[in-house]
Amino acid sequence: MKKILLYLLLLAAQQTIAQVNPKLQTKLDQQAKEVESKVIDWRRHLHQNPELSNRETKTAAYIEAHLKSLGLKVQTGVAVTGVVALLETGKPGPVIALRADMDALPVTERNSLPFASKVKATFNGQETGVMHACGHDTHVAMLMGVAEILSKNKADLKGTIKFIFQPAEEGAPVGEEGGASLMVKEGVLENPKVEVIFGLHISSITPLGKLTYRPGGILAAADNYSIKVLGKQAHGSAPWMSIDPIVVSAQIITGLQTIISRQTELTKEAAVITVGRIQAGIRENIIPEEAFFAGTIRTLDTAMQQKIHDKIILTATKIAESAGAKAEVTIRRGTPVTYNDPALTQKMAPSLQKAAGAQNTVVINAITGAEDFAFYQKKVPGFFFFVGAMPPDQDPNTVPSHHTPDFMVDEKAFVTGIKAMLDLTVDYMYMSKK
Amino acid sequence: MKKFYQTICLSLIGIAACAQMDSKLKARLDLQVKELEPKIIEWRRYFHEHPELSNREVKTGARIAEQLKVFGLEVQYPVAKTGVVALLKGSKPGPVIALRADIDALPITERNSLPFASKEKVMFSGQETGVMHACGHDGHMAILLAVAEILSKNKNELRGTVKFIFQPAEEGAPVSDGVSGAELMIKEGVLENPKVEAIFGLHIQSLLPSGQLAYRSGGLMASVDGVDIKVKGQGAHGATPWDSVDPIVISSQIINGLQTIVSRQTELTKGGAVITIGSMHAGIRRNIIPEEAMLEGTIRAFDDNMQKKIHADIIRTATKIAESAGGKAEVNIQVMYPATVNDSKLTEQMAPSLQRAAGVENVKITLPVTMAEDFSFFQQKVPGFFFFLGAYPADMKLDKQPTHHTADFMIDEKALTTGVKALINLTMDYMVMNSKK
Repeated sequence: MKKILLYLLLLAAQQTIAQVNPKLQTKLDQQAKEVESKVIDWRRHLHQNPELSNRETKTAAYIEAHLKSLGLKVQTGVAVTGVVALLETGKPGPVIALRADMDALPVTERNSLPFASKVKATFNGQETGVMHACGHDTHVAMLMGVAEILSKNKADLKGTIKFIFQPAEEGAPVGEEGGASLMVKEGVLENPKVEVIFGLHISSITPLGKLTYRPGGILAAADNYSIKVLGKQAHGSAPWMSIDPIVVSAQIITGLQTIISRQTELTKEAAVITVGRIQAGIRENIIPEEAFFAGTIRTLDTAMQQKIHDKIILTATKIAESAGAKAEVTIRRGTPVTYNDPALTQKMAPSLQKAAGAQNTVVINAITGAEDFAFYQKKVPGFFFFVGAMPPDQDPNTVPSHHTPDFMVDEKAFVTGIKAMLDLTVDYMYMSKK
Repeated sequence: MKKFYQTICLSLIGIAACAQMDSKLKARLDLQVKELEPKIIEWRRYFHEHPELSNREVKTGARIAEQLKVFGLEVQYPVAKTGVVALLKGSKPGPVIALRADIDALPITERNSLPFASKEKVMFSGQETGVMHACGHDGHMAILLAVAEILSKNKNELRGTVKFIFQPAEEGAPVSDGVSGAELMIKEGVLENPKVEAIFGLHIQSLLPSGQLAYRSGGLMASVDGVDIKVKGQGAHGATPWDSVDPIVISSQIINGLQTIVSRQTELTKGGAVITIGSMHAGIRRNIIPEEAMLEGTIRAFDDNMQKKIHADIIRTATKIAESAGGKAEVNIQVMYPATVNDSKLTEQMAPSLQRAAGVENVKITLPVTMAEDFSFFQQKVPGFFFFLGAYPADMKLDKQPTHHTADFMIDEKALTTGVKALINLTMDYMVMNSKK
């Protein structure tokens, strides 16, 4: 019975979308096609000139120039290097935010593209190449295209559109603030108050032309934890004089596995606890005084996230006590879960289907990577999705993944991404009762 | 250098202190032992053919009491259920020495073609089983009877009193019997009236060559304690572990944690230690996470403080690991037998007597063994000396030699006279050394 109701609701949603002016729809589709070559040029320029997180000054200037040329009200230096532009239609309607992230990665590009990056920078005291190895260049270029088209059609639109070009999605340098959390802090969701936010991510491992999404947690919350095990030092030959923090750590690490395997409702959402680093001791024959290990926690549900944090503390402290040691657990919350508001997702999924075709719109499993788009979603309902950009001749088993020197996207994906953003914006606008 | 001097000093003191019965008397006693050998073997075979379980040694006790009366001893029977205690007062004043033999057999069906093999059957824990002297207590009884007979005959040479203790239930009585064995004998006053000054005991050892004696100063045999750990979790369907607190996974973590008590937290140079989980029971069906799990184990140590520390370590390890997963562990430690610790002064004093009984080349210093022996209860009250009597037959191969507590257990009867001589020498020499002239 419940299912049938849901189905009726979905039908109702589709009907609502059908009400968008067919003429406008045709025009948008056509203009998306027309803007393609420009977007590719922009993207190649950005790809060739990548900048690290919180250092996207040339990128910002490039975006700013374009947005100003469209006649938009532009605000720069938001959250260090971010650019925010407002398209005010002058007619009542919702305030919709569209977001693209701008930063590149300390990766040395390895391919023969004519527009491959030759940029070098120093990162953590080490010289490295800089590369748009996560596709943020495409995000910026697509949103520049979307801004251009929407500006052109201002007369047919209502409400306000806020274009957010965000720096430092990959994480600000140590000691700096940055990214979505700082943008939110600096008021990007206010004046005018944003009602809904849309964002996308290109995916080099998703077939070209596909759009993928998931209601609820689509990308994980990423929290860091570190555990210091305090034991007692002794000669390696006399363990009974010690409280051995290495053996205790080994027991704790094994114990942490059981939080996932035995104590977490995995049918609800997946969860990950990884120990990524462990450090103890200086010499073979000295039992050290303490051991240190640290890792990342990935969760897709805020209640589970809290529960797992509590269980990590319990497991580590009690196992340490079981051997006469002490464990100090520090958990630092990082990016929250990228949570697609279920009602919003249900309402907007048909727009994706319109943009890419129903057969090309796919509900996917959650991904344990993280995305700071989540900070916007904590404040306002948001919808985040993936744009497939794996070239058709690629073997899905060997396609280079994001954050690698061989990362590559098929530029034909951009039109689909642009159409998706346009449809989401316009459909939402016209479904709004404002 | 220091060590060297110390060694010389000790040996000198040892020899000086080691007054002994005169050699003529020793020769006479040795001869008497030799003459008695057929009877010793006959006694041993009688006991072997008629084994009785712990605290059920009714015929055995009666047979011993009857025999001791024949020697003219003052006999007290039954003591501690089925035990026998006899007193031999020597003609000259001197210390009271106790000699102890244990008398119970095991629920094992004998597997050999000896003409005197046991054919006894009995119910044990609701199961029919054969009964067998598979630990050599039959030999202990025969040896101690022989010692009683010979010392009785030589009463005029005795400086002091000998108390012969035939103790039931060394292997452990049924739980419902309550305190038993050596512990019960002590409770019933076996070390009083007259007050015992030193106690000697031996154990046949089927893995030590016949005719050899082995001993060790300090911890010789381990303490034994039982540990029960009940892990309380929360039951759930096997498909939804997140609804449970899984006592099986917690138990496995506890078992791993217990290993680190020995490996990391116990001073193994002081003495070895063992924690064995011998039984683990939980659940009834593959797809049900049970509510509880039960672990049972045995703890061995050679030192009272180490034993206590291990108990505390086990309680902490189990309860905290259980808490780490949201469960609870109830730890129940049953303190059973203490470590069999040979008083170092007494051992130093008496080791030469063993050498005289078996020959210097036949007395070895053994490593500690992780088996336990309730002789330790006597040693907690008075200085005691416990040693092993080698009894593995010359024609057997050591790697094929069946161990104690098995259906094929076998001893060389030729070893029995060595045991008799050892106890006689210990007794006579101790009396010479410790009686007031």
